[in-house]
Amino acid sequence: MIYVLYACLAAILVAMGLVLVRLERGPANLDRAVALDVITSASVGILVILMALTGRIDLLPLLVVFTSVGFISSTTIARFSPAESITERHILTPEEAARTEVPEFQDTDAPVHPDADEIIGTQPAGGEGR
Amino acid sequence: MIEWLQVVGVAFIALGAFLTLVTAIGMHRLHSLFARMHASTKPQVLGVIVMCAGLACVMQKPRVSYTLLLVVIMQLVVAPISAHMLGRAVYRLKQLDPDVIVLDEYAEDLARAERHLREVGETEGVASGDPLPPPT
Repeated sequence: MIYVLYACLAAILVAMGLVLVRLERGPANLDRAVALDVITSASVGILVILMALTGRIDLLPLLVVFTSVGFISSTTIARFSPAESITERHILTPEEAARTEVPEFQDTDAPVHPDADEIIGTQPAGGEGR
Repeated sequence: MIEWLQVVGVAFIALGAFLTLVTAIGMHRLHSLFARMHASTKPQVLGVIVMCAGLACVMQKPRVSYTLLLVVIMQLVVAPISAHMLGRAVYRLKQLDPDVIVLDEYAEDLARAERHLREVGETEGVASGDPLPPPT
């Protein structure tokens, strides 16, 4: 029976690894929030298996805390996540970068202080009082 | 300690671990966010229930069983909150491929509310508390 429990532990660890891959890859932040939820419930599973293996009762409050608090992270992400454009979601592949065409910053306005260069040039180096 | 009950408990825990693994495969392979949310609900509700039942069968102590019941109730309260918030955020931020949705009742609802606001809201104010007209 103990070996079955060890196999379960291995299965959950593999599952957490797969979810971590999704957490790293997920195109939007909300995908990552969903993956975070799954990781929380997988760690609840790990706690359950540890308790069954060792017979420790003192892990029970941890279980309660995990289930009652684990939802806060994903809810917060969902509530406060801003609308993100496709260019901000993840590191773009070259094809995507070519397709989305981030506009380059162009300064076409007239300068506000045309004589700024002269003013900066005439100031003493290091400023005053320092 | 009843021996066969412990075997049943370990079988339950194995079922929960299997559900978690299935979820992870689903998270890895499914293509859209709603499909992944569908996969992610399995260990959150059924997996936690099954694993807590299994642990109660293995431990066979009343104190542990009551606390595990509390855990299950907590999970049942909490899981819909995060799922609702996530789904709402996905819809509102328009991070959704429109081809994914087969039936979009929320858009109809929003359109109906917009129409109602155009008819009533400008003269009487938005917060007049009038009930929305029935769906056509």
